[in-house]
Amino acid sequence: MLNDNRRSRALLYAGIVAFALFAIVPYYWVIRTSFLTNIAAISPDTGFIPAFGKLTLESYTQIWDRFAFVTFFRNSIIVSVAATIISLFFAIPGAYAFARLDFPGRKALFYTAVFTIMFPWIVLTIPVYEVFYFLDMVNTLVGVIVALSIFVLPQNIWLLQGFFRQGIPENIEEAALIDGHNELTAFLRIVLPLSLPAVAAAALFAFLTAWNNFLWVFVLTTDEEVRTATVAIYYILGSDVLREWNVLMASLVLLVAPPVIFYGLSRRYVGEGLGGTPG
Amino acid sequence: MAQKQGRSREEIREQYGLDERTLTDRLRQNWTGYVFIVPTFVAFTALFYYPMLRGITMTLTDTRLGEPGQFIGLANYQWLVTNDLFVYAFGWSILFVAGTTFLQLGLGLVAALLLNELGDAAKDWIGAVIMSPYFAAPLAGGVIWMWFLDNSFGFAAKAFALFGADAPAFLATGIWPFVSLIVAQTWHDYAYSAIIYAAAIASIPSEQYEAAAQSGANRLQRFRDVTVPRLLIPTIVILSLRTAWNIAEFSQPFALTGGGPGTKTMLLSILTYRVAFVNNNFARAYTVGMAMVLLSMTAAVVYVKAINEEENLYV
Repeated sequence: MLNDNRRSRALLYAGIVAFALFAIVPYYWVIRTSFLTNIAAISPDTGFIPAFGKLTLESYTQIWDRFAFVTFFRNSIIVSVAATIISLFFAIPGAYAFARLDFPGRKALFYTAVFTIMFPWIVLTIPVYEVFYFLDMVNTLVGVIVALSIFVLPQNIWLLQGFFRQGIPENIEEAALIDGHNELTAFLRIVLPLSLPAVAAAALFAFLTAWNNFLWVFVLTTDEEVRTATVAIYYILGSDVLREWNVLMASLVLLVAPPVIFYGLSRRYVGEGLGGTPG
Repeated sequence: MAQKQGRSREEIREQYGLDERTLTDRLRQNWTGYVFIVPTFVAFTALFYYPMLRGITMTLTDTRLGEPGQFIGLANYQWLVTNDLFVYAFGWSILFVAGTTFLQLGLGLVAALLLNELGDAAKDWIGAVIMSPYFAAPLAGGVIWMWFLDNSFGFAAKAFALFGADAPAFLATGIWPFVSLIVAQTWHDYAYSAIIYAAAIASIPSEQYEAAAQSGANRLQRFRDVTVPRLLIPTIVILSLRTAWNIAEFSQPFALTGGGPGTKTMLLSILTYRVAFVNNNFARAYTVGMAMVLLSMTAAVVYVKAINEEENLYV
């Protein structure tokens, strides 16, 4: 029995290690390159784990004068923050209506909203581009913000409606109604303050989804001034200039680190809201 | 007595539930619902419902960027089915979606089962490590794998050299680009099914395992009789959502191979992009997109059936 246990324990750890390696080794290769000089990065003499003396922060300081990364990261932040705020403004009441209120047409709207989440967005960029072209919103930050707000909206609605449904007992609102609130003030005064943690979690996810988005920004912009970091990396990769792999990889680390670290830290608190039954 | 006489027959019937309330009554009663839902509805209309309908009507015209276009009937669809590249991309897309979806499902299940055996503290940080690929930008995932598989400087080439072998061109020759795309996509998204499965497994009451153990079920039997039935709905949910999302996937394959070399690994999403924004032929691009819409909407119908009345949504 003990033997059997020990063997299954060993199998468990072997499995865990295999998964961890699969997840991390591609990352590791990027991080390794980002801490080397460009020569060392492409030299066959540099080992899998480079000697400690070869490590340098050079590439992280070079990023800022090689490319307009200040602009790119600033655009990323502006666009993500704006999209988060706008989409929450739409999603909070929408999610509450889906979770609690009954009105004719609710089911139909609910299911079309399910479809939005599964729709191939690349197809939708075509008519949306046409609309933006007509409104002169192509190549502007405003256009990108509008597109991203709506792109993260379905995700926000699902997260929040799950929380409203399961996280807030219905008799709280009933008590508020008896106390003389109507549905609107009961929501604003009672439900909303109680939901702040869930709203914060949704805001974090919305921010990072917008931050990670490539498709909309790529399609809707061509100018460098309105480029976000994600799209900038794609253009640098495709450019013909002598590639400085270490600098490119350092900028990739800066792009990937915020979402991975934030999700990692918040997993215990809100991780299950992301996938699985929210709340 | 006098009061009772004042009430109409309809009011009395409604009080005892003999008459249905009319639609207008329900509308009046539920006005807050509409106040709350209007912003969402407006947003969906502006960037979802309208563009979708506009796109469908567009496929019947020869619209290009900035030109309204003439009605040409089903000519675009005729072009579509006789276009070799589309047929090729359609086939490869289905293979890509099937391969990635099942690998993601399988790996996610194994990861969730393994994590479930760990203690709480270890589960937290090891979970964060194992799930980490899911949270990287998909475009970054493409760049990461391109560098990882690079023929001169990548990890893969170096590892092959360790054994004195020459690495194949992972992104160019033979079946390797197909394998690379599927593996890279699996890497990025398997954590999604792991998260869903982990939540489902965590919600199984431990009494059920204890009861099964007491009646003499071994580990495998407990898994089969207690765990598996609870994983059925999550499995359908993962299959349909991941199918739809793998069809829609654009950024990572676009960064990794961009459909190349040549058009060897052309996926429907990349083809749609190229026809729309490289050739500026919007009408034909949306026609290509209709094939993607058809595939993902099939998955969506399965999903809606699975969640049914439950409305426990998984995103």
